[in-house]
Amino acid sequence: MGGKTNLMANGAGIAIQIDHVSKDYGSKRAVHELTLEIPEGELFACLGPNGAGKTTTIKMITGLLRPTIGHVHVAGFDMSSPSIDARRSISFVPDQPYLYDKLTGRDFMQFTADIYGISPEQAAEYGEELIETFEMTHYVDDLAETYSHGMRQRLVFAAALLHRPRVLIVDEPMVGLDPRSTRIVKDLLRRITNEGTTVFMSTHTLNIAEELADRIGIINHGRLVRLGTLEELRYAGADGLSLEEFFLQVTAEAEE
Amino acid sequence: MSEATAIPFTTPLRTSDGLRRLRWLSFRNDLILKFTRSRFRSMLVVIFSIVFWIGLYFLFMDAFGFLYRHRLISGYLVELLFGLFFGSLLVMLVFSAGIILFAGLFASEESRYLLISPVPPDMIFAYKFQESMVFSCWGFVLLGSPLMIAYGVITHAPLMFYVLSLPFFVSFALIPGSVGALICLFVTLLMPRRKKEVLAALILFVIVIVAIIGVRAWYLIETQPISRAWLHRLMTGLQVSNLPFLPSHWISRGLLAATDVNGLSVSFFYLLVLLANAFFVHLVTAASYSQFYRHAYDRNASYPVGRRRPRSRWLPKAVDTIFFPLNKAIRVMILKDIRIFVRDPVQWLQVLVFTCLLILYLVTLGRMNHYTESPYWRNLISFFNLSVTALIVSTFTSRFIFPQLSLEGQRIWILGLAPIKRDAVLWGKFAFASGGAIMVTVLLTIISALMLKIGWLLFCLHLFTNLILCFGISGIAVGLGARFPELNQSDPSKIAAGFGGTLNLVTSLLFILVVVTIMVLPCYLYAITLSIEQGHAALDFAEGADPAGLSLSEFQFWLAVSIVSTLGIGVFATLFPLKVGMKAFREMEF
Repeated sequence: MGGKTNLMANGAGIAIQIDHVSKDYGSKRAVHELTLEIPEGELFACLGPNGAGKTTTIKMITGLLRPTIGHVHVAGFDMSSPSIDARRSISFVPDQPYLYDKLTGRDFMQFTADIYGISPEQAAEYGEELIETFEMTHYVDDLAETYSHGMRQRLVFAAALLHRPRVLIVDEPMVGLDPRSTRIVKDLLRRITNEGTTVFMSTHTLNIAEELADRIGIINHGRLVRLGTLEELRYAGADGLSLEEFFLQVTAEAEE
Repeated sequence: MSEATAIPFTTPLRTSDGLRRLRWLSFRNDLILKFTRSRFRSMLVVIFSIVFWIGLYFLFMDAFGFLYRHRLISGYLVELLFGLFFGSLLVMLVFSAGIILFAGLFASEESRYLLISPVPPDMIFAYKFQESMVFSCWGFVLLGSPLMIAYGVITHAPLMFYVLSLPFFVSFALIPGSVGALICLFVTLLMPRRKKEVLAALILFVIVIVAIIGVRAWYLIETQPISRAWLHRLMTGLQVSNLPFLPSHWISRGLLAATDVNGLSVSFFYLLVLLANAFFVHLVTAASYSQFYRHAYDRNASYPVGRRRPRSRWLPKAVDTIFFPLNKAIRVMILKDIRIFVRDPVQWLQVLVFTCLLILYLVTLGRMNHYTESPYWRNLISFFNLSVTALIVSTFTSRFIFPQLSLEGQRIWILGLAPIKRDAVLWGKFAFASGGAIMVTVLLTIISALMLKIGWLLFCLHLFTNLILCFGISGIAVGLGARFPELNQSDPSKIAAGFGGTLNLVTSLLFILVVVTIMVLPCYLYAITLSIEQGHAALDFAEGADPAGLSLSEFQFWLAVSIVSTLGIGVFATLFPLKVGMKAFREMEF
């Protein structure tokens, strides 16, 4: 359990493999027979209405929840019982960022470096880079309890990238960010995927998915109802539809 | 930014260093903030704590001095007293550690964050366990340290007694803490849907055991007058709390042995027994968390927490009927608070448990015919009952009513922006708190009056005092809750343990002390007169009591003075904190 399987050899560089996964909450099935493969270096956007099963899927990818049926592999690791190396390979940025209020931003970065086992020199060097990238210099030495949502979100992003994860999972990354911060995050997500990091992004902001995603999956009632590139989705729907119109059409079909 | 080549990880992980630094930095920054931003408030907390500690110390000195003078300080009696104290702590620490750990390990955002990180599960457990022990044990230390020092001073214990107290306390606390943690883990793992029912069953089990012990002790002492033999019989009835296989027995024996230089080897033996068991239980617990924590977390998260509630039609009608003089906005607030209270078993279960225990105690009072026949004892016991009831109400208002406004947290804007006066919000909470307190305490007052067969005058005085106490305690809790809100804190126990919570508890205790003293004095002095007139040997255990009582006319005068003073103090204690709270709440920015 938790060991690394040879997905890279067999699956041609698959970073996230979700294999016939179902998840039950008591008698309610939140995710139905979900199968999905996301290759390394892809930015995958997961769309779906509220309660569709996106967050449950994310929790299974991060190893926080175990699938009732099926398996989830991330970077070759079985996430049912994730090993330390498995958890070192991923990072998660939740929609409600968790910070220790009585730590400064820099303390939090240091704490992240400690628990991920990054050497102090590398942590200092890469940490400074991230502080500059996310434009946190003016507040990184203040206590986190004084931060706005956007400041917290930027700090959590920086901390999540400190150990250079192979897979980054983000839940609603742009909520609460001002236009400039949004631009920074967008550029960063694009850049790290170009450099080989895989990003799994759950969002309601359709234009972000439209602008950034290599592939888009639409989940409704726990099932993957559409999957493909933006062009493929448009082709499969009706040509000329915006992603918003297509999304509403697909989710309405599923309701019927 | 540099190329995203993977960062090589140092080996081994510096997780424990990281967690240690996290705790230290959080503590240090918090302390600095408290003493720079709110120096006055922090100093008050420190001063209150010191005064409270000194008060307890002298109380214990008096109690042990009494036992010492009556040659009761040695032998099994004190061992049983210690056994009883540590036995009660044992049970409380099991529940307290279990509940705090559940909140910290299975229901907090921090645990979610740590579980996704490379921190191993057993280290997350260790980190949260230390936190839960600090929260569970601070009261234990506050109560236990003056107790031990007072006992050491009275018995002229050697220095080693004080030195050994710390390892004794730590190893003792580790056992119930670990047992609570184990119960928390396996209940969550095996019965995730039945957690609350299991907790209720465990509490019920403890109540039944306590009731059996209590009834057994009561039957042993029968209706004999209080004497040394009576005390010995009572203690024999409570022997179960000091069974040789219980950690409470080991710590009692070990600490008592340490008061004598010749008993140090016995003391070390019990310390080693405690340490060995503490390490063993903790090791088993840590290993269990290492193995099962993730699975238990998944099991807990995989069952829906909320159940659909049938919409009750009678509750809104009942609230409208009972609180009809209040305006609609206040009634709506009361209804909201009642719904939250009813749907949180932690709150009503504790109220129910203490109410049942008090009823049990009051019913057994009926057996003490010897004392209830004497006006002196009847009067004293009835006011004692009133004080105990008020003290319990004050602990509940500190725990549940004081944090209410803070718990609105990030939802506070709903109340702030609602088209109702902000004062109405606080009036609603006040009506809810005082209404609930009055319902429970009036019931207890009636039972107490029936069991003690007190007259109408005393009964009416009790009801009056009771109402004043309920209104005052509720006013203090609601008012100070609004004056000292902690909107960033979601844990009510932490809110109650903060500055405002401590101030609220201390103010409530002072208020109870003042009101009860004012009301009890004329009744007490008149009861002495009545007892002497009726020829009761009532003062046989009240050494040093002044037998000079009040005449009827003096009693009537001083009673009138007491009633007017109590009324004045009650109105002030109710309205002043509410006024302060309302002002703060009106000026609060969201």
